[in-house]
Amino acid sequence: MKIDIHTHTRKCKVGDAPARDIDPSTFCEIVQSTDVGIIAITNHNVFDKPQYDAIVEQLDARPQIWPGVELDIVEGDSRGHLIVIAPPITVDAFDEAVNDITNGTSPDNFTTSVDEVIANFDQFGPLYVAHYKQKAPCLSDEAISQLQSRTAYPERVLKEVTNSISAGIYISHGYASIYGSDHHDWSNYPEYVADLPDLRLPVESFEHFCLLLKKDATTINTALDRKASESIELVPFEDGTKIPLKVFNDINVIFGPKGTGKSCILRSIARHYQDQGMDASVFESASDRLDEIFDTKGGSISLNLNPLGINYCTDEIKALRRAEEKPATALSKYIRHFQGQTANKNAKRMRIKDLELEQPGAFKEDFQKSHAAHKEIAKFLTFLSGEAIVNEELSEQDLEQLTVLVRKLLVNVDQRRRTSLFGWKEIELLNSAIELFRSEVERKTGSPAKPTSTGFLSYARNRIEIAANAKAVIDSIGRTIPRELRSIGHIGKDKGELEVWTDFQFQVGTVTDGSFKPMKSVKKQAQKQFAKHVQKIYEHRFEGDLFKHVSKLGEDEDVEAIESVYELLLFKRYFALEGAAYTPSSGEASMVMLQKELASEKDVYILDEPERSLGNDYISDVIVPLIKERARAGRKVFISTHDANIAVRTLPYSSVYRTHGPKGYSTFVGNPFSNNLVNLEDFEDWLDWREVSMRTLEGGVEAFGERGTIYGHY
Amino acid sequence: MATIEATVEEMDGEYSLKIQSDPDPILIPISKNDANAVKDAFNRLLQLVQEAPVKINLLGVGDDLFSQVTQEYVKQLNHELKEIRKEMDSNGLTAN
Repeated sequence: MKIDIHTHTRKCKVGDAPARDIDPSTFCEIVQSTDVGIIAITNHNVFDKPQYDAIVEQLDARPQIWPGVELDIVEGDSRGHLIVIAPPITVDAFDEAVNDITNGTSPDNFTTSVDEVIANFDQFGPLYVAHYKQKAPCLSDEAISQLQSRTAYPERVLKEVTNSISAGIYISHGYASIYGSDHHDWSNYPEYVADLPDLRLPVESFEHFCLLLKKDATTINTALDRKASESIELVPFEDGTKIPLKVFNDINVIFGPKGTGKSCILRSIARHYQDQGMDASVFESASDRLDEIFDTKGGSISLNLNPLGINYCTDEIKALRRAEEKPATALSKYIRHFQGQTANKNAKRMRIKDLELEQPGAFKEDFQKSHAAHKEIAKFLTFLSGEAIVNEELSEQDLEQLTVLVRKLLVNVDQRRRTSLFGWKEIELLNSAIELFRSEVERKTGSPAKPTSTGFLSYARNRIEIAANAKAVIDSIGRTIPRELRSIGHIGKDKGELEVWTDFQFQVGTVTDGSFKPMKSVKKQAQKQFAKHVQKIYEHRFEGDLFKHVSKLGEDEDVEAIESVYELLLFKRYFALEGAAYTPSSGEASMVMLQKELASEKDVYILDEPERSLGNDYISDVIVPLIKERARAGRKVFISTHDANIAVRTLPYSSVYRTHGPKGYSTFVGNPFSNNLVNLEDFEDWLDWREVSMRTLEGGVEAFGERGTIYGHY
Repeated sequence: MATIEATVEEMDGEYSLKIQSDPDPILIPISKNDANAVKDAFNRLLQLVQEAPVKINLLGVGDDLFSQVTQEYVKQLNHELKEIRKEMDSNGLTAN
C-alpha cells in the first residue's frame, strides 16, 4: 500500500499548474485506480471543505483521505513550506482553524509563522511535514528545530525530501523523512504512484500511523501479528544449539559479520521446510553455472517436428535402406510366346488369357483420397456434436443445418470410396483371373503365355518409390526451423533483456558451421555423408548407378544410427542481447540466475547473499522490487545478506542478527519497526537495530555519515 | 504427349527395338537376353517420361516373328509408359 502525504486538488496560487484543479468524481476515479491507500490533500494556504466532504463521501474510506494544508512559513529571513495534516475526525475544527489563520488573505499573499501554526493547529495532534533541503522552498533547520521544540508531538514532525533515495539516507541518519507526489497534473498521477513510499505495516487510520511513528511497541506488535507468521525451531549447528524464530510470510533477513553461521541457518531453514514436503532449497549465486542451467550444451534440448509440419521420414529412410533393383523382363519371353502359340482348340477359346492386364492405379488413388476425406469429415461431425464452443457460436438452427450438410457430404464421400474400392478390387480380381488362366493354359499345353508386362512398370515403380522417399527426406531437411527465443532476465537499464536463443538446422550435406551440434549422438561426419548420399540417390534416380548410392547408406561408419531426419538435426544455443549473440559477464550471469530463482513459483525462497557479483543499482532497481513482490504475494523470503539495500530497504518483518563476541556466538531477533534486536538467550540484552545495521551493513556510523554528507550535497 | 519413332533393327543377326532419341537411340535387344541393356533402356525411357508424356510409334511392322513380337511389346510398353507418367506426376517427380 502506498502513501501520498502531499497532493493538490486546487489551483490556489497564480503559479500553480491549472491541471492541479480536479473535481471530486475524477479525483476518486483516478486514485481508486491506483495502489495508494492514504492521501493527504494539502492545497496551498487553502482547505476546501466542501470538496473534501464530496471526495470522502464518494470514496467510502478507500483510500483514506486526510485533511491538510500547505502553508507558507516565514521565520526571520527564511521562507519555506510546511504541510499540516490533521486527523480526519477533526476536519470541521481544522477547516475553521485554516479559515481563522488565513483570514481571507489570498493564497498568494498569505504567510504565517511556526508559532502561529502551533497556536492554531497543535491542538489537533497533526502531522507536520516540512520541506527540507532540496525540497524547495525549504524550511530552515532553525525553523524545524523551533517546530519540534514547541509542538506537543515532536515525533510527528517529518522532513519532506524529493525522492526515495534522499529519504533513505535521511532515515538512516535518524531523521524522520518522507516524500509525496506534489504533482502538477492529475491525468498522469498513476505514473507517479510506483515511486511513492510503501507502507510495510498496515495502517488503519491517522491515529494508527502516529502510533507507528512513535514506534509504539504494542502498536507495532499488533500490526505484525496480523501478518501471517509461524514459529519454527532450528538446529543449524553441530553443537545442537536451538534457534527459535518467528518467521513471516514476508521478508526475513539474516545478517551479521562473515563466519557467524548465517549460511548454516539458511540450510537449516531449507531442511525444515523440506521436511514438510515443500520445495525449499538455498539459492547460492554461482555465475559459472549459467551455461549448465540454460543447457547451452543441449543435453536436454528436444524439438517436436510434427507441429512444424516436418515429416520425420522414418519409413522413407527404412525403405531407402532396403531398396533393391527390380529385374527387367527379357523380350525372349515374347518370342517364346509367339513361337509356341498353342494349337489347342479349347485353349484358343479361352479368350480371357489374351486380355491385357488393367492398371488399378486410378481407382486405388481415388479410394485412398476419399477414405482419408471420410475420416476427416467423420471427425468434424464428432467435433460439431461435442464441443461447447460450437454451441456458443452457432444457433441451434444453424448447427442443425450445418450438421445436415456435413452428414450429406459424409454419405457422398462414403459412396465414392465404396465405388473406387470396388473398381480397384474388380481390376485386381480380373488381373488375377487373367494370370491364372494364362499360367494354367501354359501348364496344360506347354506353350508359353503372353507376358503380362514388359517389366518396365515394376522396374519404374521401384525407381519412383526410391525417388519419392529420397525426395521426402530432402524436402524435410530443406525446411527452415524458426529460432526459439526465451527471455531469461533483465541485466540492467542500459542493457535490457538477456535472451537464450536456440537455432536449429538440418545437416543437408553442406553445413560446415562448427558451432552447430547434433541433437542426437550421431557423428557430424555421418550426418553429412548420409545427407549427401540421399541427395545423390535422388539425382541418380533414373540412372544406372543408382544402387551404388543406395548401398552407401549402409556402408559409412555410424550412418546406421540415422533412422529419421531428427538424427540430421543440428542446434546452437547461446545467449543474445539486443538481437545479437552475447556473452554475459559473471555479474550478469548472477543477475539472470537470481531473477530466475525469484521468478519460479515457490512458497519459500531462501537466498544466500544474493548480492554477490551484483551492482548496487541493479539490486535497488531489480532485485529489491522482485523480493518485495514475492513478499507481497505472501511468500516466505529468507535472505542472508551483507547488503544494506536488501537488509534495510526491504524493511523486513523479521531481522536475525548473528554475531560473535567474547561469550561466543549470539543470535538476536527483531525488526526495523521497533528498532530493536533481542538476544534469544538473554531477553535483557537489546541492541539498536539501526545502529547494528549501520555498523554491519554500511561500515559504521561514521562511514555512513560521511557518505550521507557527500550525497547530501547533490 | 511426345511421339517417338521406333523401328526393328537387325545387326549381325541380332534384332533390337531402336527408339529414336538424342543424342543416341535407345536400344532394346529382342533376340537375346541382355538384362543390363534393357535396364539402361528403361532408365533412358524414365528420363524421357519425366520430361513429358511419351508414346512410341513403331514403324515398318512386317509379318516376321520379330516384327510381331516387337509390335506386341511396344503396345504393352506404351500402356506402361502412360501409367508411369501418371505415377510420377502424383509423386511430384515430373519436370513439367
